[in-house]
Amino acid sequence: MTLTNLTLLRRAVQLLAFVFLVYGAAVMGVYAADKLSGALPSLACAYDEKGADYCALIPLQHQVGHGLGRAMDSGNWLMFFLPILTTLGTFLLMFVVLNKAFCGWICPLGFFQEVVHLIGQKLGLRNVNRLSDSWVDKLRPVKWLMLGVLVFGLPALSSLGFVSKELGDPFCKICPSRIMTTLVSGTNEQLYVDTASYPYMALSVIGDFLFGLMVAMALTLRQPFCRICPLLAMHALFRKLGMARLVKQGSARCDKCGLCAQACPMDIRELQTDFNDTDKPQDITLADCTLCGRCVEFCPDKDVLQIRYLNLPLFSADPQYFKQRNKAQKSWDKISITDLTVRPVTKAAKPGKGGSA
Amino acid sequence: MKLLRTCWPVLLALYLPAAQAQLIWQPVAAASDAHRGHGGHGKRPAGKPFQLQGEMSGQPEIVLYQPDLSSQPLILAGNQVSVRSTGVNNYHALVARQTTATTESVAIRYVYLNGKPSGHSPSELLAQPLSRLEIVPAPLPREHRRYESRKSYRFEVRFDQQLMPQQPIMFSTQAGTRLDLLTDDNGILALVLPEDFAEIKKGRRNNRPLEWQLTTYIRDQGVLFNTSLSAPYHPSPANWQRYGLGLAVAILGFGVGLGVNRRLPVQSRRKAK
Repeated sequence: MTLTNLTLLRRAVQLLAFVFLVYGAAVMGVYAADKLSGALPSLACAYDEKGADYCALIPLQHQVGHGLGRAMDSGNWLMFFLPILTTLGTFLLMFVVLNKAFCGWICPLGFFQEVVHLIGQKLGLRNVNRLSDSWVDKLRPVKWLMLGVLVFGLPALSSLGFVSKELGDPFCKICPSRIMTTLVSGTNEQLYVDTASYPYMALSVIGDFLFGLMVAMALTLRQPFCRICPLLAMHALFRKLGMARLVKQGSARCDKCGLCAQACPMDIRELQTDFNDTDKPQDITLADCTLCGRCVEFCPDKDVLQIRYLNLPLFSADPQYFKQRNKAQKSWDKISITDLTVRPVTKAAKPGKGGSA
Repeated sequence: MKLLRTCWPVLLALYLPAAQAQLIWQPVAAASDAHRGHGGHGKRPAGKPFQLQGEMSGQPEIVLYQPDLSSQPLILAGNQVSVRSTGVNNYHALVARQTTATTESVAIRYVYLNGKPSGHSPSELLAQPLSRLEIVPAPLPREHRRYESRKSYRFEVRFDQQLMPQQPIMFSTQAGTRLDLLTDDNGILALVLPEDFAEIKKGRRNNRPLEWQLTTYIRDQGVLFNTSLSAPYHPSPANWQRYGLGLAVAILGFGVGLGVNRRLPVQSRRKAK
């Protein structure tokens, strides 16, 4: 059987993963002990009681936030490291199977942003499609800051008493997945401003604001939050251990093409610029890659880009596939519910001035 | 009011028919550290002390059930027992049972203890029969959650593992709320915990929990069975979390996002032909 549209397959997998991860408690059970792993490499949320699993970042923050000070006091470092290693071990057990595809294929927040973007496009909102290289370069370090400061730094400082206890799990307090997953599971209890203390108030305001910002930006820009997600950074740390890889054996034609980088929702320009004169395929699963496979889909040259599993080609660039996929994409792009950017013609409006925003 | 808060289990026991000899687990006030947030992380106490209140004729049998359903006997010192860590994480069931020729009195309390992951779900513990007549949370608050005022909770009343429809139950709280309730036709009690705290401060850590309890009894073949379930509850976070304001901030973020969108230039990696 020939695969005619990888994106459709991916959307189906994302939808199933979304339903399972957001509503799966009906199958798995409501307690944390019932969950699939408790250290999922995707932003499913522990605050969503109806979910089937939750991401690794909440236990990591808690283990650092509660354990470091205790270990310093007692000198029992095993008590500190053992839970963290257990969480990381569980995370890695799953991560090696799918690698960064946990972002592109499984993450509920990633899927949510893709759906919002799809809605935005079908409503006729402008499609920014990609950020400038300078903006991409500015944004790339943010995910590392999020991981370093919010997941490990502040919880560690909180545990040692340098900052208040309210900063024990700061990433969860601002994570848009907490608000999104609880809203779609039918409760608004996570969309609040906390007036209990200034740190809680600040975190809740940032979280709410970030959620609204993410939704609005996703209408126009692909994957806005994914670009600064600390899980993406954590994936980047371990990506060499994953069995799934994106590989490239480029040619001089790649310099002039750029369709792969244009297709990439994370604006990874290195897809076009790196490994253009190599003798053998090179691993190009870069830090920002989500293994969504769009670059492979839109590469017109045979086997230049491939998704490999255990070094066996799983999906390869192919001119025939490219033609079909490109045609399908153009047909899909023509479908529009409405064009919100078209302003109604008024008497004052001059002809030809009613275009997009 | 202070007298009521101190003596309420005794008053409750007097309120019930004397023959019931109701037993009720209560935390020992000074060591009740559940209000410190997160169920007792931080420096670990030697154990969680509880006292068994009610009329005792002899020494009741005290058993602590672990998440893996293994059990260990505990000894009452006076009317108190200290529940020490079993080394495993999650809910444990503290059960006191006193049996005479004509009565069986049981007090049950689900206690969260920290430790290594047990690998067992609290649903296993809840499915385990702890006495012939029991009130079973359906479900318990999830790990890291707690009973809160204004929220609805469900309980099953089982006798010999059969759900008991239209079973009278008495609900009472440390703050003086007292309700006579009935299970529905399926043997389920749905209950919204009252917000009867005398004073609510902003922030979960700034409020001490109060106690609630459910009691019921049934007579079967000349034996009076009675059971109690007790647990702490906390003020609803809705007292200091503003949901309307949260929505307003999200809308503000949405508006700013739309503004940013308008300023983002459309880029292309493809050279224009």
